[in-house]
Amino acid sequence: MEKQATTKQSKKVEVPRTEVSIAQDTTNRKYMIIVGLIVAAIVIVGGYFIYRLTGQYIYQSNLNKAQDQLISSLEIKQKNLQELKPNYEAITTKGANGVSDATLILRAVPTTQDYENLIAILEKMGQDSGVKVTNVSQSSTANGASTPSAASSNSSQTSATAFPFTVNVEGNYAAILDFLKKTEKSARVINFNSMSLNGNTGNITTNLTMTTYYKPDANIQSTQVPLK
Amino acid sequence: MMLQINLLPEARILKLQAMARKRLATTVTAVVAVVVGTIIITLLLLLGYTYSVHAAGEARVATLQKDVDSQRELEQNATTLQENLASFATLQQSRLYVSEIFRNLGNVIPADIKITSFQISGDYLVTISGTAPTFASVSTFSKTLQEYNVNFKPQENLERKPLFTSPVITSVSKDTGTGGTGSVTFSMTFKVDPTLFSQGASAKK
Repeated sequence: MEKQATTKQSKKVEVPRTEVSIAQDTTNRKYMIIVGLIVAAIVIVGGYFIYRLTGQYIYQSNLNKAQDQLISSLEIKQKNLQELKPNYEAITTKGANGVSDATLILRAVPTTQDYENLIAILEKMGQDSGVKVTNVSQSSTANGASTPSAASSNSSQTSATAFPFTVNVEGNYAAILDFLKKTEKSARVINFNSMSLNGNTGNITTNLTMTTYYKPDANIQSTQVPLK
Repeated sequence: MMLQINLLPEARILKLQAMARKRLATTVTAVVAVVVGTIIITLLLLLGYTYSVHAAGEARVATLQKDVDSQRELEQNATTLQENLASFATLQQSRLYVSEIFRNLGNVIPADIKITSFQISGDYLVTISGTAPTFASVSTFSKTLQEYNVNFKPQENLERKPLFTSPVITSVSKDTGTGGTGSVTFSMTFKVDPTLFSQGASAKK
């Protein structure tokens, strides 16, 4: 045992502590602390910058990706518009009857209620059929939705807004029948909902509830799509 | 055999060890700084590249956007026309030629029956109401409706099958009050075959 203790003591040689060695130890310790602090500071500050820069890089990369998608869709749109131009010109050019296809489409399903024009159409049809149109009024409720036409036009692209109205006409049976036929053949889509009748075959007073349709201008606003 | 003996004093050895530690610490600091610096510089370069790519793209987007915007009216009008045409097609497809129903109904109504109201719903169910002299007249009218275009007045341009089906007399009442006319007020529903009427109308067109 004594031998072992002597060996251990012989390994740990006590260096005499002089003022110089103590000062050196202190300097060393300070140096190591400063270096440690510098490393920590580099790691913390550098890590922060790396974190921020990485985030910024990811964000910027996504922006670029979105920009690529936008450029791609704009190029497709540009190409489509170029292809559309001649077709559009063809559809807006007046035909032999002096009316363009575009005008016919907008007469059938206008972009507004166009109530004034509807009244004029009904009056003209009344005159041609030999019935007297005594009253035209807008219905407050959009019960046109229950008509066969409206029921089958639910998709957002093809659905038109129903515009119900009532029209009172007076005339004989044949004239009223002709008036109904004219509404069916009208350039503007007019659907029959219901009618009430009064009088005899020679002079019938009817209150017709009908629905016409309009579709506001298409929405061509840009839409947002998620990044792929 | 060669034996190495460290003849340096212990104080000197400690000093050298301390110097070695200092060097190691300095090297580690430098390596960490270089690594961190390299990463930061790489990220800055990448960021700069992405910024420059974005700037170049911006110019392309502006050019394309300007070109597309110059044709905005065309796009708006063409899209509106396309959508309205699609709406028209849908509406036209399901259009019911009521005048045909009305005309055919006129062939069935007996002379003594007066119709006061006529209504058609989305499922092609017709509701009519009117007046008749007797209950029997209403019943006869109901039977005639079912036989129309089968045994009674078959239509030349239509397939020989019932045009008016499932007639149901929903209400019937007699005006027996003081000063009453004694006439019968009735209400009736029946179904129409929309395909027959639209076909008939199309054929006539």
